[in-house]
Amino acid sequence: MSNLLRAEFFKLFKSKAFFICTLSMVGATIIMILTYKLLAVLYTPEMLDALSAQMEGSGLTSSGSEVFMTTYNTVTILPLSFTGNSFQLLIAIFTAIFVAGEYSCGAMKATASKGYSRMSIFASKFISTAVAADILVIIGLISTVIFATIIFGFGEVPSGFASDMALFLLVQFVLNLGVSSLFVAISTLVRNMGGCIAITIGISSFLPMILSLIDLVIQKLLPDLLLSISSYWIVQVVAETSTLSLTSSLLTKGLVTGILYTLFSFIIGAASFQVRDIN
Amino acid sequence: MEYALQTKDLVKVFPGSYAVHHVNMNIVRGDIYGFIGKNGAGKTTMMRLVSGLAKPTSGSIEIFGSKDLNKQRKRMGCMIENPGLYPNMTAKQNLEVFRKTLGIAEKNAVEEMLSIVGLDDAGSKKVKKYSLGMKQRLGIAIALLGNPDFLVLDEPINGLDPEGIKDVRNLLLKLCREKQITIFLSSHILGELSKIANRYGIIKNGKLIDEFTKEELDLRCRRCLKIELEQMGNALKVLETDLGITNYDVLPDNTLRVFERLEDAAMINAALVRSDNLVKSIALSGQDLEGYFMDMIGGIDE
Repeated sequence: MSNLLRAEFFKLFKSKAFFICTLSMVGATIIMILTYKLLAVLYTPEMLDALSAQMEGSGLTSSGSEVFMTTYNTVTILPLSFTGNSFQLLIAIFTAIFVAGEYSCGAMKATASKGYSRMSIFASKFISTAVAADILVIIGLISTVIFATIIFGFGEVPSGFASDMALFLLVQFVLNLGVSSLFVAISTLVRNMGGCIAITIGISSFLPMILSLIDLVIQKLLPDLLLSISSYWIVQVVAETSTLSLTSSLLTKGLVTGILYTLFSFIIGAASFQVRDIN
Repeated sequence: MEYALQTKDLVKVFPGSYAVHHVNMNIVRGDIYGFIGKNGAGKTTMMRLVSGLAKPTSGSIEIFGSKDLNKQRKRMGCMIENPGLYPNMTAKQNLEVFRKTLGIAEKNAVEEMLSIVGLDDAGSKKVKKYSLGMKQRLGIAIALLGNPDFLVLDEPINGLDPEGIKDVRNLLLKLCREKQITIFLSSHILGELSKIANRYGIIKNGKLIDEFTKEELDLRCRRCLKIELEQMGNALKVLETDLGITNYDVLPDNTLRVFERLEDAAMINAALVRSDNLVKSIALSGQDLEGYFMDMIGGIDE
């Protein structure tokens, strides 16, 4: 297993896709911060309040009031890094290339014939992808801190900032582990790089809409049932928990969602890898 | 006799068909086993089963007499279908990945393998810029990493130029001779296979229809007069007594193979007919190894 991990990390740091995704992460962060700068320059506080209310009302964003705030600095922008799905999309695309690419180029055959158990091969892939996703997130956060500080300044550090930030990062890392796990499982099931990227984009673009439709159907059929499936979609939970003022219920929801996505994805991915032939 | 590979009633079923049908294969340690069959006959599936890429539907596999296959597969080097390479990495980096995977401490193993397969000058080139032949060589280098005792190579000379084919042939022969590596290989270039292998297996529709040694094959390919008779009658007496022929054999379907006086076909025919033996056909037979394989594989189709 340690040999497999060593090989995985070697591949990771030689992977062109990893460096492209890392650069894209930095680029997405810069675009995000420049957008805030533009908002701060163009909009008056009254206009932002009105826009925020309008967007929340139309369901376009779950955290409109936070996006359209009037004071921008590193402290206020940092939690917002996770609200858009750019982090998750990049993790998903990288995972598709890193995991499914092994099947597409046939390298998985060479690894699988080296006498390691299927479980160790899958676990090493799972761990290395999770580490890669965390590295991407850390780079996203670091670039947010750097560029937000350059453009807006760091801002006043409120009391309890360190503990709030620690909890926030814990939840975000657990949730991003869930995201990377989900896409490792999808890549293991699909085993085709092009297919995986298409599914990734499809999931990011259409799944929230499909889940909302399912919610509507459930509400229509079972009006007494207080169930919202879309609120458990991991990207939605990432956005919900993108705040330094995490309530205990939100904290629990974030951690449980991340852990469950990780566990289920591992089980499904490992079972598929264990049973299916490698082509 | 020590076996590198033994399969017992090995079966692999794909929806609607047997890819491998109750195969009992025996590869003796130190042998170069040439595996022959048409496209879709089951060669690659069989190799995939042995190397652990596919799971058998039923039956068993023993490698070096053990059923602990993962442990034994660490002693194997495989290249199945096409070499599994990372196109955006250089040849050295590709080998480095597998050096780490196998936990080989010696870093010079990479250079050594590149040199063995003749890629020492192209080690820093990205694999996506390699020709098919170069990729094949690199695939072989990866299979050779870790000094395996058993090599499984599916079409290893595909795409190689004549010089490359010769190099691979010499390399495999050297590995077998000097390191006693057992080699299980398939190839469609049967003439080439016949220069390497000392034991053969023929697979057709998933069934291993024949296994034989190089000596047996040579015997089967000898030039002879093949005489097909309506009935055996007193044909053997005619051959021995009237014509003085002793070097012949009898096949089960009333066919004689005469290995001497090959130029006297007309006289032999006349002597048999005179003694009331109805000759259905008489022909000079014998072929090179490739011809024999083609007859065997193709002939069984009818």
